[in-house]
Amino acid sequence: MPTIASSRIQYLQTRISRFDDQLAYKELFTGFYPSLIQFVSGIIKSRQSAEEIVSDLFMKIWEKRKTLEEIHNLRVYCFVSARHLSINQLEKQKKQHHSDIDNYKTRLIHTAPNPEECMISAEMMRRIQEIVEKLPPRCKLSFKLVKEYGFKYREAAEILQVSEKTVENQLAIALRKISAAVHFDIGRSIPVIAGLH
Amino acid sequence: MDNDHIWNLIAKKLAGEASAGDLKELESALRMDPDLHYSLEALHDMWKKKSQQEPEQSEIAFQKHMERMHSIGVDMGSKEKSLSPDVYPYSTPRFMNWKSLAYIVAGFFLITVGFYFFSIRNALVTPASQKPVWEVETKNGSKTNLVLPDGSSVCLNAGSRLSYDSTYGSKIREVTLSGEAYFDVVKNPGKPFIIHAGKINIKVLGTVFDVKSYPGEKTMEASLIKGSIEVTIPSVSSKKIILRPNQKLVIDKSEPLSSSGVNKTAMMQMPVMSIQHLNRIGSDSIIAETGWVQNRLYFNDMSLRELLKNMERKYGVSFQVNDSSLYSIHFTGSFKDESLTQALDALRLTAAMSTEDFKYELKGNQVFIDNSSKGVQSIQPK
Repeated sequence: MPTIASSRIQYLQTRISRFDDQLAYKELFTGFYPSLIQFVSGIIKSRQSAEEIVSDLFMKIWEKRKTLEEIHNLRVYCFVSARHLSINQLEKQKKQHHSDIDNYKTRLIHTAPNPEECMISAEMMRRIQEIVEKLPPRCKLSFKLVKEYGFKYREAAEILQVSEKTVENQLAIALRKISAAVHFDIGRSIPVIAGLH
Repeated sequence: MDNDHIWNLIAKKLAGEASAGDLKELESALRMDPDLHYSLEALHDMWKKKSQQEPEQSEIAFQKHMERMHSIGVDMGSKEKSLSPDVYPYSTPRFMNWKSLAYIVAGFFLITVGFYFFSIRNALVTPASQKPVWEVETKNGSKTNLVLPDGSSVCLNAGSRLSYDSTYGSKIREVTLSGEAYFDVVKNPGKPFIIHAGKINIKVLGTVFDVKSYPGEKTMEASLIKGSIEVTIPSVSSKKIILRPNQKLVIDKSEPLSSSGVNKTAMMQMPVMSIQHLNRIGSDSIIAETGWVQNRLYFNDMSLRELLKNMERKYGVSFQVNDSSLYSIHFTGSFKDESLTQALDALRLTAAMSTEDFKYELKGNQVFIDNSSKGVQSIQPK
């Protein structure tokens, strides 16, 4: 997803923090909203709950705006916060005590890919979406954070509270599965072991 | 290499996390197994596909969010704060090393940490267009930094105004400037960066430059540090003037800038302009034209009239001179972080040495310069 330049984000932080600038606040909200809502919807089933979580997050940002400037990487902060709020919500709903994201079924919101001239047909893209959806939670989220939201390994690791190596491996697994299922196979007869974590 | 590892490498490459060593490994794997090329290309294609965004959804979500905040009773603060509560004068010592500014690659970000006083008006929703307009304005005695939506940064000098609206970055990146600003523009050949400064348009092809177009002044200047810029005066001609680094274009605004007048030849219609070299100073090769970004004021054989005008901007004061012959005294030198009185003392000392002594008096925001005791050759301190 197209992202706001990080220097612009810091500028908006300054404007909000020091001047209560609502225009800047709006730009921040609308800039982050698409990826955040998708991320949260992947953890929480209900769309309405997801919207409330994102709204709660931004409410907190506004309420704590005096110190907003101090946040070094706001995007990562928002995703970390979003995950935290989502898990809290799930715990409230399901009354479980696990905080490991793998325990919850996640679902990726299906968004239409941009039709572009390239090697991959629309049919293939649809199939890839299906495969991604069936990935184990941690794998799916790692994939989404890096591919879709453009986070670095280090940042995705921070958001998911796992090691960087884990993110790296999860991503590799995701790619291999995608490749195999749509016959991009490398090698001749390398078996794909499903469900490998 | 085992199968697992190859996927790690591919993932890293797609994610932009591959080291030089990783890339080399991948390359050799590609050589050993050419089938890999196809997979890699297809994966790269898939990776590049961004899912569509629906901007209206975000807008609607924001409305809902704001309604929710209001109903809960969240304090929205002051709606249009136009003044910063912290006011710092222009000549506060620098907090950051600006020296490398002129040599930085595109995308350098200038951070303002509230050391400068600035007055901001924003969210000017005009009834006609319904488009929010960002407008940043600085008073005399202050300057400010801002970051445009694409990450380009601007340092706005005193007494200046920069504006842009929400269409910035959709097809082109357009801003309007009155006064002086130092730009560091993010490279994006697909979206030209265009500055409207009075009747002049500047199209940015490169990265770092300064535009000076104050309403009250006779000339306007565009100084190029890095990259290349193209200057046009649409109302006069379709000719373009392209500058190279280290050049500046000086346009004499006193000539009419319109093509009115049937009998005027093309030559007469074009304003007087010249391309000059930037003034570099000292062994450090500091550029005089952009010294203001680092709080420096350079003047080389500059008349007092012009120098005082520059000082008015820098210090946020106004000057009254009793004897207009003083205006034609010329000065050479530079001010760095001197306070107003320090600067005036320095000028006074210099003037005294050529028996053009004057006194000054500071009353609030006004400085009175008086030479009425001229004729007294030796000045006794009181």
